[in-house]
Amino acid sequence: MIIEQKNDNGKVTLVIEGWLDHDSASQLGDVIETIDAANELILDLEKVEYVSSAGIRMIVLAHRKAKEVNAEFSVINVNSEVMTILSMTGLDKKLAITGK
Amino acid sequence: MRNGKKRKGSLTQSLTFRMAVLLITMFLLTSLCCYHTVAGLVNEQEKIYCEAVANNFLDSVCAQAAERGIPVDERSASIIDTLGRKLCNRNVVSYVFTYVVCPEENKVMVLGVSAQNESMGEIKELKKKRLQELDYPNDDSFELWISGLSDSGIKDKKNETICAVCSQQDSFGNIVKAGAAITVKAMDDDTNEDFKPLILIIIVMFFVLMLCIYLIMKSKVLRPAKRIGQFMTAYIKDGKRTENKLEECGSYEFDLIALSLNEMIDELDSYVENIKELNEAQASHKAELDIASSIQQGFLSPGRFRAANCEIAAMMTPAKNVGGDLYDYMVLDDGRIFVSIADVSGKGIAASMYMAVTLVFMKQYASAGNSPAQILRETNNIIARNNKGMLFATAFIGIYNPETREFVYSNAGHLPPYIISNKAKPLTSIQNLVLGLYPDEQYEEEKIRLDYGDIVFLYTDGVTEAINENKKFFGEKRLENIINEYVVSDEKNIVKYVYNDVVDFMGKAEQFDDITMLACVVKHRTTLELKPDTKEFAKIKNQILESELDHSMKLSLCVVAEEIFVNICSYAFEKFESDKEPFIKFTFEHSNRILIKFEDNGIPYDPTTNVDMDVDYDPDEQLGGLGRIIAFNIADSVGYKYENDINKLVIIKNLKED
Repeated sequence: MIIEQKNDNGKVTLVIEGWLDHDSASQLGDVIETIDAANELILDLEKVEYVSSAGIRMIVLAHRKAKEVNAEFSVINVNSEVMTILSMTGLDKKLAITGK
Repeated sequence: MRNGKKRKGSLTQSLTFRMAVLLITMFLLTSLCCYHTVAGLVNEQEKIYCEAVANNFLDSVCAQAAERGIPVDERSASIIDTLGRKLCNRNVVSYVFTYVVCPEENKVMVLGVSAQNESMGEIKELKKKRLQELDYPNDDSFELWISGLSDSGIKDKKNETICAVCSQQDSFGNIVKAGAAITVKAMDDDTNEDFKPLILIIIVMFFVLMLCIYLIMKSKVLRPAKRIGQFMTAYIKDGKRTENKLEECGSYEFDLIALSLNEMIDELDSYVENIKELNEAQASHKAELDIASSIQQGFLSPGRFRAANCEIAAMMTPAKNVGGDLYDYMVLDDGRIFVSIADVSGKGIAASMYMAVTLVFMKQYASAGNSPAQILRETNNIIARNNKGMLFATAFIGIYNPETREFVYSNAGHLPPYIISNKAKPLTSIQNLVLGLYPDEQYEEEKIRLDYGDIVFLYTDGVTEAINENKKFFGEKRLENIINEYVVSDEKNIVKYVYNDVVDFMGKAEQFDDITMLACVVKHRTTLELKPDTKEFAKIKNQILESELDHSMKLSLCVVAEEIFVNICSYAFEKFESDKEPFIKFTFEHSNRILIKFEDNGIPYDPTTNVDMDVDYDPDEQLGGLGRIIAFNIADSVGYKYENDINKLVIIKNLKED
C-alpha cells in the first residue's frame, strides 16, 4: 500500500493506493498519528479497490484525529465496491463520504 | 362356539323340544277334530232315534184311536197320555208331545205332553194348557220352541235338546204331529266317559312314539352328526385327526358325508403339503432374486461421490427385484471423469445380466482411455456379436475434463440429458444406434464446455414414463419444472429431489420401469493449510483472485474471508495451549454457488454468536464485531459447529439471483 500525504495550507490529503486490509491498515494508522495540525483532513480512496473492517477502523481513526485537531473531515472518490462495504456499517450516513 | 359367540343349543335338545311341541299341537288338533266328528255322529244318531220313537208313538196313537173309532184330537187325549207316559217312564226319551195344526192359521193345539219330569217348568205349564190353542205363527216355530226344552222342562242354555217331529194322517184324514226329544247332556257325559280311556291311551302312545323317535334320531342322526362335528372341529382347530378316518355311521346319508369328508381332508392335506413346498420354492426363488439384486446393486457405484472438481449423485430403483437400468461413473487415471447411463430393453434377471455385461465393458473401455464414441463402438461390437437374446440397450456416456471443463459425450439412442445452469436445458445430441444389435456400427461424439455449478443430469425413461393412478405420464415438462424448482431451492441432492417428486406423482400406482438418474455437478475446489497468522491472508486472497468469478464478487469474497480469518486468528488462538501444531484450513469451492470453509484446531470459537447486525456506527464508540457484521452481510448463509476438537465454519454465497 502506498500513502501519499499532501499538505496544502492546512488542507491535509492522504492519497491511498492499494488494498486497505488488516495488514496494511496499521501503516495508514501510523501516518494518521503523525498529523498534529490541519484545518481539513481528506482521505482520497480513488486508488483503493478494497476495504475491510480494519480499513474502516482507520477511516474512523482519521475522523477522530480530525476532531482532535479541529479539522473538517471527508472521504472522497470512493468506488462502488468500497461504498457497499461502508454502507453496511452505516458509516456513509455519519461521515462526509463521496463516491467517484 | 368360537370367536366368543354364544354357544348354540345342541341338535339333540332343540330337535327333541321342537318335535315334542309339534307332536303335542298335532295331537290336540287331531283330538279336537275326532271329538267333534264323534259328537256330530252321536247327535245324528240321537236325531234318527228320536224320529223313530216319534213315528212309533204316533203310529200307536193313530192305531189305538182308529180301534176306538175316534179321530186323534181332544177325544184321544187319554190314549196319548198313556202312551206318552209309558215312553217317558221307560226313559226312552226326555219328553214326547202331540199336537195338531188348527184349521185356522198360526195356531197349534197341543193334544198331549209327557215328560220324565212333568212337574217342572214349562212342561207343567204346557200340560195345563193342554187342548188349548197355542199362539204360534206356524208349526215350525212351535217345534223350535218345544224342542228347546230340556229334560228339566225349562229352557237351559247348558243343555242342548235333540228333537225330532213327524206327522201322520189319522183314520179320519186329519194331520197329526208328534215329537220326541232327548237332552244332549245325558248323552255328553256318557260320551266323555267313553273318550277318557281313549285319550289316555293316545297320550301314552304318543310318549312311547316320542321316545322311539328320539332314540332312533339319537342313534341314527344325532350321534353320527356329533361325531362328524367333533372330528371336523379337531381337524380344523389343531390340523390333526382324532381318528385316522371317519368310520361308517350306519346310514347311507351319513356314510356319504363321512366318505366325502375323508376325501376332502385327504385332498386338503395334500394341498397344504403342496402349498408348503411351493412357499419354500418361492422363498428360495425370492432369496435368489435378492442375491441377484444385491449383486447388481454391487455393480453400481455409490449413490454419492464428491471430488474437488465434481460432485455426483445417482440412484437406480428397479421396478422388479433386479432391473435392466444402469448408471456408472469413475475418475479416470488422467483425472477426467467418466459418467454413463443405460437402459436395457426388458426387465428381470435377463435384463440385469445384460446390464452387468454392458456396464463392465463400458467401464473397461473407459479405463483404457477411449473416447466416448470409441467406448460405445467397442461395447456395441462385443455385445452385438454375442447377443442371442436380441436384447439391446440405449446409453448415454460422457467424459468431463476438469482441466478444460470440456464435456465430450456420445448418445446411443438414449434420452438426451439436461444441462442445468440456471434452468434445465436439454442437451441435443446426435442419436446413434442403440447398443447390441449390429456390430461395426460407427458412433459419433460431440462436446460442450461446462461452467462451474453446471449440472449434467442423466436419466432413463423410467422417470418421464412413470405412471400415476390416472394413467398419466410424469413427462418431460414436469421433470423440467421440478429441476427448475430444485435450482432455486436449498436442497443438496437433485436426484433425491426429483425422485421424491416422481414418487409423489405415482401415488399408489405400481412402478413399471426402473427409475435411474445421475447428476454430475461441475465445481472447483481448492484448499489451503494456513498458520494462525493474519499475514497468511495473502494466500487466501491469491486463491480467491485466481477464481473465475467477476472482480467485484472476488473482492466481496475477500472481505468475507479476511474478516473471518482475522477473527479466528485472534479469538481461536489467542489462548491456544496445545502440543499440536496450530492450523487453519481454508476451503474454497466454486460450483453453482461459492462455499468458503474454515476449519481450525483452536479453542472453541463460534463467530456467528454475539453479532448485532442492526448496529449503526457511532464514531465515538468502540467498533466491536464490525468485521463479522460486514462478512455476514455479504454471505447468504453461515453455519458453525465444533466437532472432534475442530471449529468448522461454512459460509455460502449464492451466485445466481433467485
